[in-house]
Amino acid sequence: MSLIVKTVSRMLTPVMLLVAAYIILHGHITHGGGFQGGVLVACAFILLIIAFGIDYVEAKVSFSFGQAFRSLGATIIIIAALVGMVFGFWFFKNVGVYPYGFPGEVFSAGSLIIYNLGEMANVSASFLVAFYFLIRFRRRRK
Amino acid sequence: MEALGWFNLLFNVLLILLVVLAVIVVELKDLLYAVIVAGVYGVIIGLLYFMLQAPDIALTQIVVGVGIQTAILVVAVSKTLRVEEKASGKDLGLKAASIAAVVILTVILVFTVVYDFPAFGQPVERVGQYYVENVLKDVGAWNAVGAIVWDYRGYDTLGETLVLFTAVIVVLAVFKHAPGKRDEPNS
Repeated sequence: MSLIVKTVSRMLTPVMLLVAAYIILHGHITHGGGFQGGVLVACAFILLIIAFGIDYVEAKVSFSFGQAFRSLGATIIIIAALVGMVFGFWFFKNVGVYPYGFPGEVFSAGSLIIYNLGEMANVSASFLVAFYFLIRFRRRRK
Repeated sequence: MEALGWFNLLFNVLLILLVVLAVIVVELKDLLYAVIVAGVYGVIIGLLYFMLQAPDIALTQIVVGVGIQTAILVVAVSKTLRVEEKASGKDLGLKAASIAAVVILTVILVFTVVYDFPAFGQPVERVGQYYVENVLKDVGAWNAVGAIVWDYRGYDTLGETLVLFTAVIVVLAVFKHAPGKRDEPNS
């Protein structure tokens, strides 16, 4: 890509990641949540792919790392939901097992922040891995 | 009341713009331009959601409908043809007639159903009222939508997350032996 695209995407990617971190970590206070933030993280990396090429990004975030990150996110969600059953409540038990906190602060609303982080890992890595495959795919020639 | 008038005017202008943009997307022959105009379309839908006081949906629409969708469609256009192929003129009249019949039938069905809808902002279900009133006591989250998504309706969201997880697994399984991967000998 041209120099303009490279410069703009180099400046824009940290801002996108910062906004994504805000959306995810404040998912239980302000609007948004794990899905929106995760897609935004994936968009930041896709912008880098479009500007600098797939090899540049894949050297930093490898395919197998994406797979591991994706599975980690799903595992975090399942384990955080199972904690309620360990303490004698039901699946997805939130307040009562997790602390109530102070509403309006980051550490409040029990386990919502854990679920948001897990979903961010799942969604962002899923979209990125699928995009890797889309870029790498070529028509079969006989 | 004056402010509401301006709000309605802007809302209707955006709705009309939406129709115009949709026609432009369909009529453009260069598919790369069509994808970019579709991104503008997505921005306007996001704006409409925001004006309807649904910022969560607006955020999702902006991020998915403008970010991911545009990127995926640009890659798809670059992998296939950039200029739309001319439709074959053989059964063109039949095709147009069948599409018109389906559209007219859909419009008639929608208009017969839409009179039975509850009025705007008057939902039939009352469970949303419970959520809004009790979310601070039950969960302690300021974002009621986030609390509904991950607390009241946690099973639904778990299912959605696992749907995405499984979908990517299927993509990997289907394209595992696609040519062009790095570990293929003749790539």
